Amino acid sequence: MRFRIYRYNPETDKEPYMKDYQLDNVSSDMMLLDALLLLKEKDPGLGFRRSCREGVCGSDGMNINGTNGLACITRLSDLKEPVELRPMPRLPVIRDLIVDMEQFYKQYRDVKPYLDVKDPLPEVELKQTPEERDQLDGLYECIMCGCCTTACPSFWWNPDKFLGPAALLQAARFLGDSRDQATDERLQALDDPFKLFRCHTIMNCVQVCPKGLNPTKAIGDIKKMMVKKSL
Amino acid sequence: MSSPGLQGLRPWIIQRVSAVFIGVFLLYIFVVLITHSPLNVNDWAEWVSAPYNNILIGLFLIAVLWHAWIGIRDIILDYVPNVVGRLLVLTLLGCTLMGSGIWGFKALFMVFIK
Repeated sequence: MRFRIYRYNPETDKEPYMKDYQLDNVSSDMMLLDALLLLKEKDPGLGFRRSCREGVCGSDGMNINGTNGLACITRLSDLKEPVELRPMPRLPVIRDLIVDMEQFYKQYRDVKPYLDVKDPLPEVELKQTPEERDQLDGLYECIMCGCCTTACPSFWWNPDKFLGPAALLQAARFLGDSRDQATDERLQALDDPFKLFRCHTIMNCVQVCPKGLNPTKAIGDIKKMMVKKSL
Repeated sequence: MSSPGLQGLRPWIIQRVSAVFIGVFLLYIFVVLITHSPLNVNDWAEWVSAPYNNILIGLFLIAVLWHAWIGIRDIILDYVPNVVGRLLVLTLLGCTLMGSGIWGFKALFMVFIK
């Protein structure tokens, strides 16, 4: 099977380049990460992140044949040859397929991804009814791989101002949490031309999310909450 | 909150409300054109000078200008990253829309001077 992989080592390369690889004895049940690990045995200099190898940690997000995804849950048999691998778009490249996620994490921190409770905390845990807990389904499962945010054109245009689908999904997750008591502050913080309203429902985020989540819907729900609050 | 004219929720709501108004008004105009056909200039001027229609056309002009300002502003915010360039293009857009508005209202007012 043929691969074309983005290579760039800032210490030795003036510019990034695409390097061709050939891998024999590829079986139909292999995942892309398995192939990358075999390629790394051939070429130890090849850089990429990976950890759990089962779509839970979100480390091996990359651009696979033009679409962001996780290498560990992408079947080789589903890919067209040559398989073109690039780092996730619009983030600074540290080396080869490894990107600097700092901007992405900054956006995450910006939405204050933790419960804000004004009342004195109880001795036991903060409880929810099963219905209240159900409100968080489709929001809490995000693994922060960055596939959605780096696939979003609004993020490409304003990476420092638009919060991006992953962070906004987290904003919706805490806005929708019955235990959180900072709804007004959270909505106020998002009422800005860039942070939330750069989303034009392009829906690349929905297309690429390896967990099947829907950040576009979450963003729409935040807008609905804002409208309700303003009435 | 940012400076006036560069907010988040308010323009978003205005864009949607103006879109609904523009859509309904265009439907109304379409019905008028079909039911009053054929219209000559004098008939048209008479129709426009009716206070109800005149006010509706004025509101339509405001809705179109506001809708255009928010829509093009959004495109500029996306594609013009430089702050000075962005301000320049926004000013140019504001002047163009304001000029178009004055021209439109002048035409609307002229109907009464005949």
